[in-house]
Amino acid sequence: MKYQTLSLKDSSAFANLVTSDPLRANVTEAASFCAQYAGWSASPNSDSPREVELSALLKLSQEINRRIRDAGGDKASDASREKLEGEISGSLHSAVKDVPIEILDDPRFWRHLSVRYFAEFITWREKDALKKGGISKYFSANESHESIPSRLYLRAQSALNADGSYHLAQAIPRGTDFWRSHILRVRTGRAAGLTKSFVELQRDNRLSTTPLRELAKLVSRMWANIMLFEYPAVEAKGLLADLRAQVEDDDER
Amino acid sequence: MALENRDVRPFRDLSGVQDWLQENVTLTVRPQGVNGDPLAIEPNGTLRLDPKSIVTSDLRLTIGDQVTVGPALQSATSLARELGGNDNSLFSVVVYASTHYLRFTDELRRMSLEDLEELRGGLNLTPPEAPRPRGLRLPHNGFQIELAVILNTQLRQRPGLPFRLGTWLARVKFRIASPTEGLGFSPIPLTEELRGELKLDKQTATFARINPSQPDIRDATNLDDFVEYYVDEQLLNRMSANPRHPQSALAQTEVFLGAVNFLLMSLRGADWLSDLTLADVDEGLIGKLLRIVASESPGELSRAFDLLKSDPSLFAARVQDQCDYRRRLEDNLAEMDGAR
Repeated sequence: MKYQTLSLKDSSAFANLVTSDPLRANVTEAASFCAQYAGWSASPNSDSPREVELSALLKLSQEINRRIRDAGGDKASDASREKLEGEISGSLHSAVKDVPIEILDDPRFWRHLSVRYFAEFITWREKDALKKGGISKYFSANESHESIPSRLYLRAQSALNADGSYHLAQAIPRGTDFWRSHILRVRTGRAAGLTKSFVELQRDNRLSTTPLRELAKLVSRMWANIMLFEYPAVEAKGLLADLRAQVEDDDER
Repeated sequence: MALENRDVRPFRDLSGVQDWLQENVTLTVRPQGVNGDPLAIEPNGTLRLDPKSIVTSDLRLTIGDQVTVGPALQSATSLARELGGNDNSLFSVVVYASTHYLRFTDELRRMSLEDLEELRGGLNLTPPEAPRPRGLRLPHNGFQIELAVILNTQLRQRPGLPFRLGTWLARVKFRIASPTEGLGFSPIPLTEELRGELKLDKQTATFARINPSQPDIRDATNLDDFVEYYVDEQLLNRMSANPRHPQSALAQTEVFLGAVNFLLMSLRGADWLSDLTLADVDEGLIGKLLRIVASESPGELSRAFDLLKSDPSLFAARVQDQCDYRRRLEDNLAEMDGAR
């Protein structure tokens, strides 16, 4: 199966382009850049000349750009930017659900998606990094938990319910740091039951930054001795409740 | 292994099973269409394959024809009795496939300790009659296969004994990696234009700075994510043109050590470092750095992390050792002697 790719050099060049002129982060500019610089690659275990199907992603990208404007465009609050990230992660996961895993494993594929379909969202979502000239990592896909759209995909993957719904991906308001630091950057995101219980805990009884960090640290430490993949949601809930009680006891002392 | 673990694992584990796994289990890899003996990976080893072979090779966990499982089972039974069981049914053997890039871990097989006998003929992880598991279809970032003996139930807590569901009591890991994967270090050619931008003088050969887009090392996965390491364009071209020549090999080693030393220097005075645990850094750049000087066991990795925190200079010296720095210097001097 064939798919389009972008090199790290080219995704950085596009990031530099939009850093020098943020208005160029638009559909026309992105399509023109990709037409000029994107290459083609083929999945190594498939001889099919078929092109990977991404029409759902194109529709999603148009919808996201409309919602950016509905949210106030440049004037949108930080909270509404975070909210939209949570809301679209499930749609993105669903839009690429039929893309073979061999292709999803290729950072060059994600770079192409970043530029072609998410340029406007990335510059809008990461406006602070844009101002500081540090937006290229959000296009580069070197670190899947940082770059958009790979981090949206990973968030939805971790939150995906057995019934196919993604509601947990958007369950925590202002949840970007929770997902990035305590789920995706660490091993926790690989343990489905634990992730879901952690999200529910934070949704239902939100911890502030410091105790949340303490709780996440205790969870991280458990990985040294325990395969937390083994915990279904119910058991994971019990484990997190124990650890949370430990954090609260420490706070009271 | 069991001894090494004691400093980080405050309970009895299956040291006999651990030793048995380490001594007897290999992952055999037969790339599609290749005849002859398969490639074999020892526990905690890594095999680099091209992307097509990564996703098409036949993979089997194997023990030798003459190896018996009996000793491992007997050693497990004594812990099982201490834990209140009559037999080894408190334990399960689970084979997982994991990817760091796509952040998932899938279970490939689950069996009893007694079923380890199945490894004698080779436990096929990629049987042709079934679809290849997604965890073994990752051509660009590779995957890790882990065989772990775990406690499969929650027990009453007792001092010195494992009690939590999922506690691993013995395990071995095997990595299949793509050739491009590693520390992720690519020096940037220092062109005249960059020299001007960075305000560097003409005789400056190398220059390092923290990557402006990644100021926090805790978020970095590769060396390139954190360090921008510039090397004079012409020198870099000459190194690349003759990579195996002793002088080039020495220069490459020095460039690499320069980047590592810069990284270690940047960690000095980081007040957050002492709070980090091995689990916090295991999958990122610091985890990769630890693996330069330590093998894949929690005890060794933990000690390497303690060393990095307490004595970065000695840690840097260990990295030098792992890069055969002295031998490279000697080769280089021998070349010079020969040229006289």
